[in-house]
Amino acid sequence: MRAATGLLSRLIATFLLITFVAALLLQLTPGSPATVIAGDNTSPEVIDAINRKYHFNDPLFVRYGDWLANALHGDLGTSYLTQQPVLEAILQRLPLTLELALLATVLALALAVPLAILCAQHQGSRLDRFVGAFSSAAVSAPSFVIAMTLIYLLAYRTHVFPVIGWTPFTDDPVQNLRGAVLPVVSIALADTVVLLRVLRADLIQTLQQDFIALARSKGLSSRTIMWKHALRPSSFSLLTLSALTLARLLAGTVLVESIFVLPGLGTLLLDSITNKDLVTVQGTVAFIAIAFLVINFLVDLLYGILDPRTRVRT
Amino acid sequence: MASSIPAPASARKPRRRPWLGPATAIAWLTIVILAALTADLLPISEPDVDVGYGVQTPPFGVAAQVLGTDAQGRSILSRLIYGARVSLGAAATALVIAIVLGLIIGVTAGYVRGKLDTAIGLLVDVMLAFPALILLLALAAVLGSGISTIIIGLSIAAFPSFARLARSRTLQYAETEYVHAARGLGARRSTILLREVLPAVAPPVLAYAGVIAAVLVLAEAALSFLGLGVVTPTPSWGNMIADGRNYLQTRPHLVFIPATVLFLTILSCNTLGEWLRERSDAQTTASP
Repeated sequence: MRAATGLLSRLIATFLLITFVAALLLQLTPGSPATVIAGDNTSPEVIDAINRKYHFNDPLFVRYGDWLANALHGDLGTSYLTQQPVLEAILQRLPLTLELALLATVLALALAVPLAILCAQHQGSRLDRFVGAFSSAAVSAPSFVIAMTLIYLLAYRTHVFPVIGWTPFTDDPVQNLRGAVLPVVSIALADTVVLLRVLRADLIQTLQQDFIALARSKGLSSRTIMWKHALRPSSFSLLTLSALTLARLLAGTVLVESIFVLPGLGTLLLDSITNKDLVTVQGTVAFIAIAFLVINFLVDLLYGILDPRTRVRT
Repeated sequence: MASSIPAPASARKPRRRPWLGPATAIAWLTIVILAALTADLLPISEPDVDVGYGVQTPPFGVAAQVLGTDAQGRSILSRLIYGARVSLGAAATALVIAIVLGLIIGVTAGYVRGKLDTAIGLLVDVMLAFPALILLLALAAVLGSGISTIIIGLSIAAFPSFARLARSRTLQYAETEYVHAARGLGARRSTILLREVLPAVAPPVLAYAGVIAAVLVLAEAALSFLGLGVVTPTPSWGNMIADGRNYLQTRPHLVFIPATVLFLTILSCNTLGEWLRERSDAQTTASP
């Protein structure tokens, strides 16, 4: 319990820190935020009106307090470009990004777990070395390069998959998933490598322990040893890492969304940056940061439940 | 069947030619860095002018333009080399700033301890946990795109890793006999930090520079690709890939030549970085 309250106070501290920075975003722009909104050649009266409307003249802490109070009520401001509430825009775009992130995490796990088991079982074998070399290459390839290679080979050259365009899942699930394949694969590759490396290393460590030697001397098959004895104690880091991957992907799909022209959270952020729609930038950044913090917090809690050894700490 | 699970003793065969990977990486990085440094002396055209061989000529089509020309008729080879200057220059500058900042903050936190350490620890944890790309995008939104934004952003994104490393190493070394001896002899705190602690802490921290450099090169390319980093006509590998994006179907070399160079550079940084780190880890465990 003490660990949980420690985590909670940490969560609150980081929450305040990050939201403060997000709220400061407008303050940091060169020139005044009002000129950024209205453009350089605006009459002083208009600037004045904007300043009054958005309270840009209020002291910093007052503005942060207002912003925080509104944010806690679910109001992240209203875009002065589209007049759409920022939270509404975010919730419109969220399902797509969430789908990509979930599918990518599932795919990464589905690839990483069997490969890690094979590599740990046959450590130093040709397969293990090949997977190792392939991993080094895969983490060095930027997701946008992978995405373009896949588009070129599988969409332009062989027409296996559609290039761009997104069908909502509720309209046509099959078409939706077909469109998701290339983006998801481009994102998942790097995460597969991370999960694979961690699980392989943990498995190898577990396999060297006494209870595995005991199991082996009892004559159990290597499959039973692997799946029934070794996998569970080796998968703590894997579980927390996959949850963190999911959290990171909420923000990490920007590049791929931009290449495949998908209307997700990433393109919302990107478009609002290009259009200098700072209120939307601020709201989106804050939203992603908070989502990220909450998932991190849950992962830490989960870790304490899964692995009793960590409960004594703190 | 049971025998396929490796025995406790490390049955791992040593790699046959362990130097081959790092050596290739060093060779590639040397070529790229040398080309970037001597770009003005090399017999190549200016990166931002039409060289007069037509647009989108394929590689090896014209003898004078080995890698072909881009959509504006500019020499791809020249843009690659001048792009290396921008891409690697930004990453290297940010790397140096991040290392210096990380060492100062980490060593101070680890040596002084107490409340300062807790505060810095919290800050570093938050920054490490926060997705770097969002930080960079937010900065680009606020400061506008450009090379200085990239350098600032990359330094901020990279220094927490170095700070955390430096802190943990400082905790290790702050209680060694020679530090106690220096303190007993009445050395000032700044002298102890600079002459005793820093020389012990810096090497293992520097060993991580290669891996972080790979991340920085990638991040710069990603930002420039999104149009939020280096803006055309100044070439950078990221914006070259972005420029070629519209011609992916008909002229894939516009994308894949810069993409290959980018990939090889990141791969080299990673290979070299891993090698340095393994060596450094082996050294620290051998002589604690």
